[in-house]
Amino acid sequence: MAKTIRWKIEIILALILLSFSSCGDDFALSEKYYYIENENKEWLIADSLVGEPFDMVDANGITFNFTGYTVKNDFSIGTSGLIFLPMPTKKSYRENYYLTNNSNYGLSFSMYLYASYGVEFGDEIHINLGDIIFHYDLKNKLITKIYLPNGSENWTTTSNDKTKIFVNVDELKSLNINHKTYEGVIHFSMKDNINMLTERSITELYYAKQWGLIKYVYKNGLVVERK
Amino acid sequence: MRKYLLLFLLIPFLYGCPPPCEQEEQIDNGHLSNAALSLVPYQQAEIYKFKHTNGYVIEFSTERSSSTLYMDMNFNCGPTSKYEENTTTLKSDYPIFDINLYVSNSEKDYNSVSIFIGRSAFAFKYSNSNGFMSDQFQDSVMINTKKYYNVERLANFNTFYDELAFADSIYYNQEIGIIKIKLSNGEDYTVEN
Repeated sequence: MAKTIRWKIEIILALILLSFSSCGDDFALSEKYYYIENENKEWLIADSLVGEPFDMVDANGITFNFTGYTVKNDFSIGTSGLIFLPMPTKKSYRENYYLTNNSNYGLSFSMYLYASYGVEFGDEIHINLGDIIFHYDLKNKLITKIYLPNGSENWTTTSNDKTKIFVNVDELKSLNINHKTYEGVIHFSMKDNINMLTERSITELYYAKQWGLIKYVYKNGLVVERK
Repeated sequence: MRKYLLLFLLIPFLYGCPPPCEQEEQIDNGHLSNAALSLVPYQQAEIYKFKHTNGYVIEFSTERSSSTLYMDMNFNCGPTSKYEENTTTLKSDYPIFDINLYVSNSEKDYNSVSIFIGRSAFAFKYSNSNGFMSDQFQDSVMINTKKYYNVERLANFNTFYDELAFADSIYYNQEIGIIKIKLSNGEDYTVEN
């Protein structure tokens, strides 16, 4: 008798699990939303500048025309669960903003602003210019990831390690370019100690709150600034 | 009855598998003639210079090579055309653009030249009997106080990136190659030799 009851319970449990699994990733036992801190939304482009083309000019007077920024606001969905369960137990919605534009010379720029996943992490800014991508934790002031040309992992944030490319991000209170002051600027820089980057690689960039890309520097020293 | 049923079932299979084309014929256009190669006057390993509107001069190094290509005609059911293409790349360390020029003899009656600068594209045909096949041919053009002869003005035909047009047009002749690149933002690059 006990054996029959246990057998029936096992079948019922299996049916319940099967019914959950048929829901796929649309179902989870719990859902959580992660939102970007309001203060970090200052890193987005001002509404009045969205879609407005702008120019940058290099030290030799060559103009780089950029399209206006396109902006998208979305939630990236992540799921997690116990390995023996056929459906996720936790589903997370992480708020993100995505900005992108292109230049007439074929250089593309994009920026993601991601909500933090937990209290120990801050919201993250992901910047991609040409063949450089870096991720920066706005709360902890840390580079969390870098993608270098050729997929190289040879980078360090330790300035005295001369066997790798030294990378650094600092936040400037303000920066003056062509008689205009930009408040709140992320400055990313790389020092190529191992001569891995080409002369056409970008090794420095400046990104300003409300304005976006305002300056970048090539390895050969060529500076391109917002007009 | 079974026979008819079998035949009926075979029809879609037979319909889906037409007899293979016999593609034995090959039209060989041979090698590019010296006359065709000279339509692109850039020489291997030479340095060519272009001056920007604001005075800065940019150097380009040259790489040139030929390859044999094949073109299927009439969806694999016609003859195959064998022809030669010569590629010239002008490359600069300056972060602007590379220039790629292709000359081929894919057609027997004329040679085709295609030029790609950044996201802009240009092309012209040159007939051995009639010369440049274009309405935009000019006997002479004055560019930056210098007179150039037998100049072809080519308009960009790649309008995919309308939002950010790059080079509107180029001026080209057989002696110099690209004489001037006119950008849509009003700036330009002129040959500096």
